[in-house]
Amino acid sequence: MIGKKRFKRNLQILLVISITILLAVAALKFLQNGSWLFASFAGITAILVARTYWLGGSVHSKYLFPGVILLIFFHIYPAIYSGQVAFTNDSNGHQLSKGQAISAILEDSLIPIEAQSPINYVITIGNSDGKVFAVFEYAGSYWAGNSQSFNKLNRDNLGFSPEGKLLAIKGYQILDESLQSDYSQELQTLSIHVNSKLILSPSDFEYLEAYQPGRIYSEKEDQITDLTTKSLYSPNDNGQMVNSSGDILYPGWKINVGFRNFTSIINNSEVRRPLLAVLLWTFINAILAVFLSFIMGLVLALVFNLAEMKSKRIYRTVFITPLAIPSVLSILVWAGLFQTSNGVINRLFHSDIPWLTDAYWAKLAILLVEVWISFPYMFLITTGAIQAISSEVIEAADIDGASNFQSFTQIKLPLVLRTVGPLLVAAGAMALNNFGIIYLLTGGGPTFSNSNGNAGATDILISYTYKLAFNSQEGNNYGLASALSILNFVLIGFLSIYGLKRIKTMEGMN
Amino acid sequence: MKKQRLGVGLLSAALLVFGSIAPAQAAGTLTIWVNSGEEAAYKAASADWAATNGVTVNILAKCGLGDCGLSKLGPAGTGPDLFVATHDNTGTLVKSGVVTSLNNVINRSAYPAAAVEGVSFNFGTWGIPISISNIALATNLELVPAGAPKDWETLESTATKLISSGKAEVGIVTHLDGYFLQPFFESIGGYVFSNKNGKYTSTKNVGLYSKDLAKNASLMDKWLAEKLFDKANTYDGSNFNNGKAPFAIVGPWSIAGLDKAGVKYEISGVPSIKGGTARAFSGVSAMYMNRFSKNKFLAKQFLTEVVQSKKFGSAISAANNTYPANIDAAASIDKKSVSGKFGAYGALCLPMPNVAEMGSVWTYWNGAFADWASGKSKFGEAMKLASKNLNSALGN
Repeated sequence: MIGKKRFKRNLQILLVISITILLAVAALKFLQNGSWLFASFAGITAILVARTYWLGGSVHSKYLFPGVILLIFFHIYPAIYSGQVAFTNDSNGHQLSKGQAISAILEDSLIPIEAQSPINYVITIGNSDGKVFAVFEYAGSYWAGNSQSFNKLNRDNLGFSPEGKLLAIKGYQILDESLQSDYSQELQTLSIHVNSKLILSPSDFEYLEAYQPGRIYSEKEDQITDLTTKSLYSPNDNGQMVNSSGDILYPGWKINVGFRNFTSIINNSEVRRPLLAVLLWTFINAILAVFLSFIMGLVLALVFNLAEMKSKRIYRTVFITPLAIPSVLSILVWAGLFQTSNGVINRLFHSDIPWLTDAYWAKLAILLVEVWISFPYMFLITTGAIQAISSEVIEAADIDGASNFQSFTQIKLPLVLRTVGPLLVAAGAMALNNFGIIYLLTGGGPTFSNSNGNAGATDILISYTYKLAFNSQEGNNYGLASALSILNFVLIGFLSIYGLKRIKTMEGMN
Repeated sequence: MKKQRLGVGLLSAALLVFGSIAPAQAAGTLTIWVNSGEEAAYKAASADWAATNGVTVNILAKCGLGDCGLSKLGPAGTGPDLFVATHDNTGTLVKSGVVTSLNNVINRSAYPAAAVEGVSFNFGTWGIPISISNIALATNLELVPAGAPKDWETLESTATKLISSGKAEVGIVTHLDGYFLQPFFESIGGYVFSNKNGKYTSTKNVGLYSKDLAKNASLMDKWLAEKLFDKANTYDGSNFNNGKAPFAIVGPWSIAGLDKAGVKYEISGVPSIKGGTARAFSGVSAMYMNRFSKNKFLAKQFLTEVVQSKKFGSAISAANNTYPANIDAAASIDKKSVSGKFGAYGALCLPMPNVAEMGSVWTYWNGAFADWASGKSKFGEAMKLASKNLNSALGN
């Protein structure tokens, strides 16, 4: 008995130790990649795990701890992160940091000097600072240079082989060839500023290529000067270097833009034009989808609750199947059925309906599939709610002379709604965010011809947001998409609160 | 007792931790992202080089359409060393600052000028062309024993006769969008950006609703009514494969399907109503270098020694049914073979614009084609609206 207990305790300790170790490893890995936030999060979690489960924390904390940690990691952090993106200009052409962008602009402006043939160099490590230096012969003398410094070497400090090969340099260690590849990252970013007209940069492990700088950056003035046109570029408010005549140097960088993404939802006609239509369809779609599937579920539940009905179980099982099939599969199958030329539906009815390519038919097709997918759920919950109504109430109504219709509208329906109400609100919130069906069935299409191609007749707010964020043609605009998804969140949040309030008052009436 | 356990626990933890943060990866690994489905060809073509140089070449099928996600992944440091994209992404990639200039790497004389032009942008050359692909006209030789039509009149009369006699359901099986209909669009006088001798002259001059196009736009409506085009028949050759259509617009990617279906077909250029051949867009599939790659020397060596070789060009093209960009590799292709015929038409084609503005063009242009195909508006009206919206989007 005691042995068993000890075994269990040891097993627990082992589990806690391994989780702690995993977290500690994760923390160190994050530290290696330089992401301090995640490293400290994992580290603190590791300490807390050990503290709570190993060294005897309070019982409350043992229950609360996993939930809180997972909530922070999977809900709060992503919400804050994507919320923060809404206040930046994160989009194509604005992915780099300012430093990266400026060095890219300078690097792209380098003009190869054809007249200067590549210069042979030797990779060395400076004895004093341990940094990588390229040692090479230029203009009759030997030099050691890297991105920071450029020194002339005294010929007396150099040792040569009889063939004239450089063998030793005082103050520098010549790198063994087998170690070269360890330094390739340092070497590929090395650029030696010989003078204002000449930059030497390694093209491989043996040769330095000669370039003439096309632009220079002054850190003090935060300005880039184009040496050929003599034009001055300074940063604008959108993270780009721009000159007085409006020419932009690419790439730009990521900056905070405050509320500009939110105001552009209203101000930018490209975004605004389709927004009203999209919002309208978002609501109509959600309301109709929930309403129709609820009605269908309710009717079926009533019918299959009748005592006269035979083989109820078989029918009920059949009805549940849409719920049991992964919706990704069934939606794709529906997309096939709806094809205009070879689709089963059109063949069956000998029709030529453009199910997925005409605005109105596509909306109908979406609703059909939505109802097909969600009526089993409604059927299940309403069946439960109807069966929970005590038969005495119904009998009492019967005795009082209520007709079937009266007993349905005045007794069954209110009682069912009372149970199902909150679930309907939840289903409505889900339907407002029903990305999968829209994306897989029509892709939001047919596209509005007056929109920027991101919005179509069947787009709901979230699919429109997705297309804005991940449009391979127009370029991705994460900042704007994030702002829109915050808008989406606020809308759905308020609607859900309102819906739940309404249901509470309904319950109060009873 | 408790302390002892604690000690053992801490010790094993420390050991495990230090074991796991040991050196991350061996030197000499090159990661290359290619289009999905093409990875086997790239793997085979780089195996020799990898073995002789003792380098591990990781070929991953992570690219498809667009810029391969590099605009986001490059700066985040999770991108590959090299990746394959079509040349029309060049402008976007350069503006995002995620590719390295290959001015010093590319051997310009090994490629046709148009291909180099395609991967050049803002005074730099950013990609190494691998293969050139374009759409072409496929003719069903069982329905049309005379073979590929030499001129537009033949094509139109052949198709309408077959449709009215019930032998065919549609004239030309094709997607009804800008890319697939460009030859027809050009042949009635439209153009995306003004161009001369295969070079674009201005992105300010948009010709979606040019004078010529305005005059000839009703032809597209007529062809739609004649069922020369049919919006219900846009699926890669399905009615063509069934022998229910005399013509189809196909790409190198359709060939495997056509061969499998056992159709007898001939590949040719699209005849223009003005006489001669109407130009499609040609796309150059090219290899680009990630600016944030940590193995640039190795990547450069790979581009120089492998990607620019004739052998590599031939191998990739043979595996993917495309036409090699490398001039020497192209010379060894049989002119009468399917890829030879694609290539012959491709040589006349117009390189797809590679400017970042192209994103907006596709959006409005394809939108107009969709409105026309669904019968929502006449071709002229649709193009007029698209041209207006595009010009305002581009700030012209």
